[in-house]
Amino acid sequence: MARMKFLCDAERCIECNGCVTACKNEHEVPWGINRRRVVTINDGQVGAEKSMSVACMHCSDAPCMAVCPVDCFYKTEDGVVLHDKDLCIGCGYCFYACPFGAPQFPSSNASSPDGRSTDWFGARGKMDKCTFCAGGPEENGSEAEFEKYGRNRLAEGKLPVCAEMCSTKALLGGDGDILADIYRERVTVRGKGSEVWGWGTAYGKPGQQSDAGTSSKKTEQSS
Amino acid sequence: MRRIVSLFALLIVAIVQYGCQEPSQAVQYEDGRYAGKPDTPNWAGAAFDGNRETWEKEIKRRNRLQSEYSRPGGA
Repeated sequence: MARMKFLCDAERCIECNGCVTACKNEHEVPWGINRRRVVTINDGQVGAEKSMSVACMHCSDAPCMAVCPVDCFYKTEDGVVLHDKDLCIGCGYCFYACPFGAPQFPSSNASSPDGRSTDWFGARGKMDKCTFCAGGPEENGSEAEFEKYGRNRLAEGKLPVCAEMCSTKALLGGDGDILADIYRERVTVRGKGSEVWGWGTAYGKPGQQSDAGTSSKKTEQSS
Repeated sequence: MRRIVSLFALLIVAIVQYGCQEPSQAVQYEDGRYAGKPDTPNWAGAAFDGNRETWEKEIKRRNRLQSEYSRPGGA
């Protein structure tokens, strides 16, 4: 079974914001909400500037799921973290818990065009976030699903649009083990970037012990 | 009168003992359960006629397309 993950290669990202635009267009995301955004560090410093595309990382142990007071989050069998908008009360706990700033609110202060302060309980509106292009708890491909959560590309046998249209293939999306294989091959060819670990890089392929695992076992045995 | 005083003293001792006891500070963790509507799996839609294997194969194929090294004529 696939374990869906995103992996962004900072050596390749050119800050074109194509992923952000594609996401907004594909799901007709309302004004003020960015399910995905590009973060740049050391902006303007030659050789030190790095960009990375960030959205919901569909955490294995998602903190948003842990803090939600109405339990509106669920995880699909492919490891995609989704939520039921009919249940969401817009409390904003998930926003504070998420380390990536993924949950977005349609009426929050940041997204209000006229700058009105609406960042108080119950006035933010229903939470919206990246769905890994997997829709939500409505009939797959239905109008209701599109209106609430956007297009369900996974049900069409496709991967998230942000990753599939990335021109430099900096952003990869899909089964974590396959992504780790792709990334490992890249690192081997170009000879750098192995400090960024994907799932398979960190824990090894299924049935294969990773280097990190064997070294920790050796330490345990020697102590 | 003496009886009332001793009863009152007993009552005071009981109240003080109750007030000085230490309740457990450990938070009882309640495992949250998804309370929303059930969702159908992605492979169960009309596009794949509910065939999970075909869906998984297609997703894997598209996954591998993301590597330019494995494409025909790739670097």
